[in-house]
Amino acid sequence: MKKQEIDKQLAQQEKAPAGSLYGTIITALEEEPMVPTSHTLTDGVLHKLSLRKEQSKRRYWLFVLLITTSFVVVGFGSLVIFMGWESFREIKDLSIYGILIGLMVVLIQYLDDKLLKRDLKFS
Amino acid sequence: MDDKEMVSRVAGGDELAYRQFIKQYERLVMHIIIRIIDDPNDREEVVQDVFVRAIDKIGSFGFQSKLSTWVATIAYRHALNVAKKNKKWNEMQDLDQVAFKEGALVPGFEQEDINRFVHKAIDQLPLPYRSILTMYHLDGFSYPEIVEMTKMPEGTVKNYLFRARKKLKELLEPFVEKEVLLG
Repeated sequence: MKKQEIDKQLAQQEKAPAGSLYGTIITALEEEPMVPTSHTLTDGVLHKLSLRKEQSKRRYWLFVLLITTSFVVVGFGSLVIFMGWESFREIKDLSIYGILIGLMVVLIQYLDDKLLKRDLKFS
Repeated sequence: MDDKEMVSRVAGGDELAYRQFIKQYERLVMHIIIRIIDDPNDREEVVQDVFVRAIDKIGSFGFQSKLSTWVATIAYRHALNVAKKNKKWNEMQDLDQVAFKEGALVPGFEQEDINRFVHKAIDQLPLPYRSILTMYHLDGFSYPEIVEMTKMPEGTVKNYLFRARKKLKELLEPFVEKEVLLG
């Protein structure tokens, strides 16, 4: 259908008298349907916003922790490379560090899970 | 509070402004959501998410359009994404192939029943038709505003509007006597 033709047809529908079918339909369309009112909407939105803020804060600290851990590992690795393992004679077994790093990762995951569970409980 | 003040206060994290913003646009968002999200249980969640997104992004609102158009655009696009995810969206659905469940639509002959009948009938139209009817008639958006919200060409918006009204007329015709409408 051409543009002018559609405009003409639309105008005809809109100019239909109130008692006609189109008039009745247009009156009905302008009537608001049953809109369920919610008393919890605002609080729900505010809660979600605070949850998002908390999540982004949590993500930030997790990021900081990961970066710090990486620096510690890289720093220690560099010291070992440049100073030689003999300088760290008192540290007998490298696996101890492996275990410590592993424990740190487990701890981070545990804290993350705990916070996540708390978020789910609130949502 | 005018739109500029509201935007700056919401962007600044003012909780009272949040509440006023939600109160002001709750019905507009709900009008759009109820035409796209069929399941009433999902609607409040979707409305909440629309406001969370709007509040999150309000700092980037540059007043190129009315605030109501901007909020309605977020509501329309978010609801469409949810509908698509739930596989309830069929953009290519042909209006002529829509089969109305007449049994559920038989109206009484009071004016308010006719209104209810029309609203039930709208729910059975394909999604773009429903949304355009609501945006144009209920929320009073202009054609350029609907074009901005839906990203459909103006000709398509007008065509959908014309065909949706025509379909409603065809549906209503067999059930409603002219003299009843006049009375």
